[in-house]
Amino acid sequence: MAEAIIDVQDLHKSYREGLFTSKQVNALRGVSLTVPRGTIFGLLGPNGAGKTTLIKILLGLVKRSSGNGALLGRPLGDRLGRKMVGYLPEHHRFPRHLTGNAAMIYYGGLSGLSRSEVLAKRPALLERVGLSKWGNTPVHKYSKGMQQRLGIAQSLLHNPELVILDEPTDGVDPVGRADIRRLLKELQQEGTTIFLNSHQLQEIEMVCDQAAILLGGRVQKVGTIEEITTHPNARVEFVMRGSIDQMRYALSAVETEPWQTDGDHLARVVVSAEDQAMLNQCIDQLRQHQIDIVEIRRLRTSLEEAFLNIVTSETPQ
Amino acid sequence: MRPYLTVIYDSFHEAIVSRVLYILLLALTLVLIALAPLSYDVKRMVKFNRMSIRDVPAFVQDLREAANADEASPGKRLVAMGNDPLKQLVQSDPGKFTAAQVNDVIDSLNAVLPKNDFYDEATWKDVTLGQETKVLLDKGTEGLSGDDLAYVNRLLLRDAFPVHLGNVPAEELYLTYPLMWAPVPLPITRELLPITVKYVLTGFIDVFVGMFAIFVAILVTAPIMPRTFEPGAIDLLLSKPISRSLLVIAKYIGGCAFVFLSVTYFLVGLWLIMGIQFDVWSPALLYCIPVFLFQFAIYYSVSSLAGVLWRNSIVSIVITVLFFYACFGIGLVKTSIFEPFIINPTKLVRLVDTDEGLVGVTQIGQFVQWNPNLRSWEVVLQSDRRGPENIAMQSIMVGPIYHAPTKTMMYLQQGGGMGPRRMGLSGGKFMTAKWSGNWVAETGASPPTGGSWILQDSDDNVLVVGSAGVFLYQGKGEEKKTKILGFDIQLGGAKSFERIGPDGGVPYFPPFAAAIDPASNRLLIDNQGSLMILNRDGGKGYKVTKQVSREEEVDVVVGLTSEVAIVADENGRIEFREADTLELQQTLRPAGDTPPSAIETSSDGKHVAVLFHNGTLWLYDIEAGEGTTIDNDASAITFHEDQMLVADNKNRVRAYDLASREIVETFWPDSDWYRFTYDWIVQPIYYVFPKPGELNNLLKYLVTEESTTSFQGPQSTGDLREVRQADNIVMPVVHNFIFICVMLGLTCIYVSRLDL
Repeated sequence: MAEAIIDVQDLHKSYREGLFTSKQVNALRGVSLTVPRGTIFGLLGPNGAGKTTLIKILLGLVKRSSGNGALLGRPLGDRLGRKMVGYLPEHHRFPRHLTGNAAMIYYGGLSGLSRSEVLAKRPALLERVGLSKWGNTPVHKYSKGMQQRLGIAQSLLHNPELVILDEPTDGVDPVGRADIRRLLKELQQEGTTIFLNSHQLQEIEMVCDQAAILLGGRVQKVGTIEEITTHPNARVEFVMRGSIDQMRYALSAVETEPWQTDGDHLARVVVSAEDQAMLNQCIDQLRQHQIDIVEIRRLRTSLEEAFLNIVTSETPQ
Repeated sequence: MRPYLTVIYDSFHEAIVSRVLYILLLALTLVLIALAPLSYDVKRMVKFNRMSIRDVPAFVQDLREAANADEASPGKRLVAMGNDPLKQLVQSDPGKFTAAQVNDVIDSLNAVLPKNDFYDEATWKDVTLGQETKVLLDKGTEGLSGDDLAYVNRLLLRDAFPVHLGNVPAEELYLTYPLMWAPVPLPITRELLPITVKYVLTGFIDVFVGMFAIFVAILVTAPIMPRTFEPGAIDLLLSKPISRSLLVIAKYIGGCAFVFLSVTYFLVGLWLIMGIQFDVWSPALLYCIPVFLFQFAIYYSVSSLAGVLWRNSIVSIVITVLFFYACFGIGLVKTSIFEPFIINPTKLVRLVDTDEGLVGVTQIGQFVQWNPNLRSWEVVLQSDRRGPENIAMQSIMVGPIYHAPTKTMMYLQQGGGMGPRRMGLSGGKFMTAKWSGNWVAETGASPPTGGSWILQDSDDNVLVVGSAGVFLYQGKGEEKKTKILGFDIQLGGAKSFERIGPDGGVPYFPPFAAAIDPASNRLLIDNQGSLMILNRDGGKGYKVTKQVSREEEVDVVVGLTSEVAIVADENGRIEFREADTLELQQTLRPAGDTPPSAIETSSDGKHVAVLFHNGTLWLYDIEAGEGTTIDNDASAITFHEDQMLVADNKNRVRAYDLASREIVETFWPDSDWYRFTYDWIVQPIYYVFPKPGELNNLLKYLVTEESTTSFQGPQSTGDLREVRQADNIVMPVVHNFIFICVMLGLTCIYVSRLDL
């Protein structure tokens, strides 16, 4: 198993609501999560689920109430741990007096890079995010999408091992999104781990290897995208040729969805196979009854469906 | 370190690209352009003015005596060639002079200046001519005309009447501003130009930079911290491998960049203008840059804390401005209300131990006597003095001394504005206060011109040292009175003071210093850097027996015992010299560079006490050769037999036994409500509060190198006995620094505990 670049156990965070009240708001309620090195890891969850709080705890911007964790092998909030992390916050703001080029020098300097190091890396990075022609423009004249690109560029200046991106495609046009997706894949190929917080489920599905769904301060589901999108009661579609009656008889022991037939010998049906044994049993029965299996296919849900399933099933009615 | 340097560099960057900075720099440039043409011009003094004659009545009296004498003299020639009003004044003796009569005297002097037959060798044969006069006369006056002739004649008059006209400068300074106004005459000499320019400059930059520029800087820099801690901006910053506290410090230092740039620009410009136009190349002006930066840093520390707490520029500005006013208000209550109107007026500045009890003189010139039953100081006499009641003595009181045989206190009330810095017309008054069940004041005889010291010898003779030499007080003499509107007006006695020498070394130009050794009756006099020992000439007269030149010609106070002559100069340096040879033995500086206000010697000549303007009282045991600081809050001192009486700034007097140095008697007045309020409310609040406004003391010290402020302001004579306020230089720096540390500490603690 790959080395964990983020590893948190039972993280809790509670805030006091208001200055004079004792009411506590529990933002995180025991989050445990492991992000393997080299992956693109997506963090999903509805608003208020605790995603940004979790990211801020990882970076030491918010102090945890309890729990343990490590970032790049160092305790959470450790300054040296942040040294190899690139971060793009949601709704970030650059100082108005800076141009794109000056912003790169400024944030590079904050990351400990010398001016000459920044100058050496800057052209390629700006080129990579599509801002090479806009380096001398003041950042307050940048569009939202351009600011996002610049934010990504500054987060990559110091060749971080881990890049944490909070809504990186927010405000970016479809072409730009595709560019960013391509960039993330390139970074992954270069060995960078990416921790991606996004509301764009489709995007997560397209670029992430693994994801976690956070709800009410707890991790509801974690795993590969395939694991998340696979229906718990696995649905398998059979396309068969033979006697329709024999087919119905052979599959009478399992739950099926309405049959679709094409003439007297071709039928399509979806069965619920809870496990592999049941699926094998279905296949055995069909063969015993001389039925030809033309096609067999396991059906998956989309990430959005999976996400909505989890959210709706866990949200109290 | 690089991340923090990046933050600081970015602050400079932000300041440089700031439009506000350029607007401010433009405003400062306009001010500099406006100041640039200001300059000065020097012209030879070819006219007399009202400040040229030290004592007009005494001068006219001398002219009268010369006119009535048989032999030819410059005075006689002056009257003869002068205009009619002068002749009438010489004949009529009006006693008190009106302003118009003074002008008549001046006009007569100016009338003879253009005359080429004014000089006559025979007439001037008894006059010691100055070097410059001799050189010009050798060239001959025949061919001279206009200003050249007037200049020579003015020098001749100066040499003929050194006591009255001797201190008239040879040059006159004018302030010029091309195309705007005609040159304005300046009442200062060329020597005083640098210090005057520095004083004016200090006031100007204190107001202009200390208030205007820093206020603008507060407005401009207030948004820096709130902007830094805006959501989105701070997340990005703190995700970098930097410490929160150091980020705050770096932002704070960077915020000062704005002030640094604008203040440096302005002060360097001002420095160049002062150097080029006034030839005052004072590097001290550049030292003011960090002072203003420090002053701004105080306000900015408040602004920073408010900025991170509320993350709102407006709130930050409002709180900083409120803080500005709070500091100003507390300083105002202490230094402009309590001290000048309530505390200082009652402060004892002189002590006299009389047969009738201990008498003190307060800063505003009231005589107070200790009442043991009431445990308080009772006002027993109001001195005749000028100026408002509640500030400080506007003129220097010389003395008082207590003349035991007649149970009389005697003192000289000098006129204000005398001395080299500014010439005046008043000769002052000789006052007596005789005990007859109570102290009864009386205006005595007219004192000698420039009477600056009143001394008492071992035979209880009263001596007054004036510009013309040493005078013996002979009682009231022939009193003159005149009746005006039915009132008897005393005109003083013409023969009350007999000049008893010396022949050489005179005239003495105030503020000179004098002291007497009560054991030997020798006198020690310092006049313009020349130190003289005057011994009795066999009778009551005095002659100079030793004269040496001191290294620096600075204002001093002196003391004399049978063994040592003590000279304490305005830079706080005390010289001990052998009393006969005036050979320098040792130099000490027990109170830093604070100027002294008085030197007192014990009657047995074994102890010398030097009182400094910052309250330091330093007692030196001549036999042991050891000096000790006795007090740091002393305001007056006197010796009485084997005791030393010391008054402090709380009007408490302690009597020390000189042998044991123990306190043997105290005169402690009961505290009243205002003293209580000042000591227990105003002072503690003032002490713990920062004092950004008081950094102007440091500013003034850096520019002028003076650690005290005279209440006389531009009227100051330079006499070290003047009431001066020791400027608090170090304490505000320390307190302000502590305040900054506390505010930044609170800001850092808050930020480090902050959940974003």
